[in-house]
Amino acid sequence: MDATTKDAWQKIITRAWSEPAFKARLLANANEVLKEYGIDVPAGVSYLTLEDGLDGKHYLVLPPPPNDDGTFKIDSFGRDSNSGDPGF
Amino acid sequence: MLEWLEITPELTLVATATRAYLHVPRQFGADPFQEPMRGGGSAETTHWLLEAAVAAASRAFVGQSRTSADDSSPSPGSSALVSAANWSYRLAGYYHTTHATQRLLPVIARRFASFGRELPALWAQRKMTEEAGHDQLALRDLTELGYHAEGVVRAFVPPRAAAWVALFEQLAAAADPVGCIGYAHALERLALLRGPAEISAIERGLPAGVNATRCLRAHSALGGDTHHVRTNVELAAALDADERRTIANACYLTARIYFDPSLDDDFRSAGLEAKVLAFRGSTRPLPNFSSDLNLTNSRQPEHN
Repeated sequence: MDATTKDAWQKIITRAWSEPAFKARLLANANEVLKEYGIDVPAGVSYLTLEDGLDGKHYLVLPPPPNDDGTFKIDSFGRDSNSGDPGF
Repeated sequence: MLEWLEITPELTLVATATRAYLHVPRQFGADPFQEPMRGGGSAETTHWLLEAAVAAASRAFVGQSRTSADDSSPSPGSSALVSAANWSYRLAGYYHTTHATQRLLPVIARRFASFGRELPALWAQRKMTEEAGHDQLALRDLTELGYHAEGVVRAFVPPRAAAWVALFEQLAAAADPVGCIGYAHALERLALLRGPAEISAIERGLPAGVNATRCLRAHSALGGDTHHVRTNVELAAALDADERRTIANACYLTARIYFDPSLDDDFRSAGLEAKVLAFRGSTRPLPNFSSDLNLTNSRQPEHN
């Protein structure tokens, strides 16, 4: 998260703590609120806000698995191009 | 044990002991890999971190057109025949990168020693021995091809070699020159992609009876770089997290130069062949060549 986005998110959090209507809107339509704060919402992305810590529940966010399976073609690194002559 | 590095704001390398991931961090939410790497390394995780750095570099330019796409000259990575003039130009590149190694390793060793950095200082001193005379191999190959070797390397600095030397100089002059380990690792790791088939293909394009692949052989899977890559990883794994991050980042930047299509040689269309050929005609041997290093041509007898 870049500094600008982090600053905006901090403002959203503190406002949601103090304004129930704003919090309700954030929980119902996060994309709309984020855009209002100048945060870019990429096409096709739908943000979902969960309220953490109430009734003892804490959400752990598991990032999606990388598209890559982690097994690089280390015999070539895709070297089918006009790459150079590495000599140390 | 895990190792990780935010290589760009959009990509984080995550290494386990058995594999690595190119992780795309999300804009929101807790992501432990968005914090700087901490803790110790291991030979396995550091190996995969550095492998991931090279892999990320290889994918950074996917989809970008190459400047010489319509150039009929064979690419360094292809099995097509390469002309002697083109190979001479590439040898000039080898000379400049290997000469930078000769020039900068003593500086790096002294700097590490002055900082009391025993392991990196020992690494640099050992490298000085391992790499001694490798720039002379390129000059010797050029001479065997019938070129005025010193004239060729004075006249030509291929753009990719120039970029590598500039990066190496920058890393060597940095407040902490530990990134030089990542630079060396990337070049030596990439050199391992050069196998016997590619060397033979290059030799087929050169005049019969001429051994002009000493430098290539020294910087290929047939040379000492397999061992060098292993020792680079072992050293890096023993350093602290900040140092490993610097090394992995330097490895990434070095590998980016390898894959960057804007640095491709445009040998034919730039009229370089005629310019290189102007340096033909002198077979005068250069003095003080290094020892033979047992880098023999598999196809032709050794010419000394």
